[in-house]
Amino acid sequence: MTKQIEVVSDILQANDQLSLELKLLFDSKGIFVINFMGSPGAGKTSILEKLVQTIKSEVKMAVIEGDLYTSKDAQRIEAQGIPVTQINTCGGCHLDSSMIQQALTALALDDLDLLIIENVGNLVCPSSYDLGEDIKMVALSVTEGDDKPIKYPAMFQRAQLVILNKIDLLEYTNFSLDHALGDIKTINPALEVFNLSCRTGEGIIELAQYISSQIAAKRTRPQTTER
Amino acid sequence: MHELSIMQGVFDIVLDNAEKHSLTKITKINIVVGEISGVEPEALDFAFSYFARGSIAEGAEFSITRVPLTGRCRRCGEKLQGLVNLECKCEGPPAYEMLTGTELYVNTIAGENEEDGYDEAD
Repeated sequence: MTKQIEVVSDILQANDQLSLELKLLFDSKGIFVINFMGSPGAGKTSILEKLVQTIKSEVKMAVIEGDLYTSKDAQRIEAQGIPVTQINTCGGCHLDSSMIQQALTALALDDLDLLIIENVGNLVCPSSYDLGEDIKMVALSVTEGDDKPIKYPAMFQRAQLVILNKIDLLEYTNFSLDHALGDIKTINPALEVFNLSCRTGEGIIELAQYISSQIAAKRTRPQTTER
Repeated sequence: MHELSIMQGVFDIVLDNAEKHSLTKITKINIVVGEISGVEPEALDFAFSYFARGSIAEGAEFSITRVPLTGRCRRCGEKLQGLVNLECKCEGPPAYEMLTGTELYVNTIAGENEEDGYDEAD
C-alpha cells in the first residue's frame, strides 16, 4: 500500500546538530568563536592580519583558515605568530561543522580565548552552515558595491557584525553608505557595523575593542555545562 | 552552489524515514525551498536524478515547493513582498521583519510498503 509520511525535517539538520555540539564544547572551554565570511577579495585575511597584530598580546587566539586549494591565507596568519590550521575544501563553496571538528584536533583548545574561522570567500552558501560560532562576522568592501546586502540578504540577516572594509576608497567609488546601511537596517536592524580600512588602520582598534569585550563577556558568563 | 551536498542531506532523511516506515519503494518526495535559502531548484532537480539512480527512490516524482521572501512591518502589521522599495502605511521605511523565505526542509515522502502487497490506496 502507498504510505504518505509527513517528514518535515530540516535538510541541514546533520550540520546543525554537530554545530550545537561544537558550540557546547567552545562554551565549556570559554572560547569566543567568530565565523568570518565575505566575498573573495573583500579583505578578510587582511582584516585578520591587522586584528591579530592588535590583540595577540592580550588575547590567546587561533585561526582556522578555509580555502579552496591553497595555504596562502594560512601562511599570512602564521607569519603573525599565532596557531593556525588549514582546511582545504577542494572546490567546496563553504565550511561545515564536520570540517571544523576535524580541524580542532590540531589546536590546543584549553589554551584559547578566541577562535576565528575564516570561511571560504562566498556571500551565499557559508551563511547556511553554522560552525558552533558565537557570532557571524561579514566583511563587505566598498569596491563591491552598495547593493550587496540586498542581493545577498541571507548572509546579512544571519550575521551579527558587518565590517565595511576599504572605507578609505569611499570617495573614489559610487558606493552610498546611506543605501548600504539602509538596506542592512531593513534586513537586520540589530547588525553592528564597523567602518574599517586595513591601509589607513581606521576602525581596527574599535573592532579589536568590541571583540575583546565579547571575549570578556563570554568568560564571565556562567556556562550551563559547568553547573 | 552546493546542491549535491544538499541532496545528500535529502537522501539521508528520505532513506532514514523509509527504513522507519518499512518502505521498499519511494514514489514521491516533496521538499520546501525558500527564496533566499541559497539553493537553486533547477540544480536540485539534476542532483536528485543523480542520487536516485539505483536507489529505492529511482523513478520517484520529485517536487519542490518554493516559498517567496515575505515580511511584515512590525509597527503597522502590513504584509510585505520581497526586499526592495518596501512601503507600508507608516511614514518612512517599514520596521521590517522577515516571515518566510529561508525554508529548506523535506516536507513529505510517499512510498510503498511491501508487506501489504497492493498499491493505490492514496
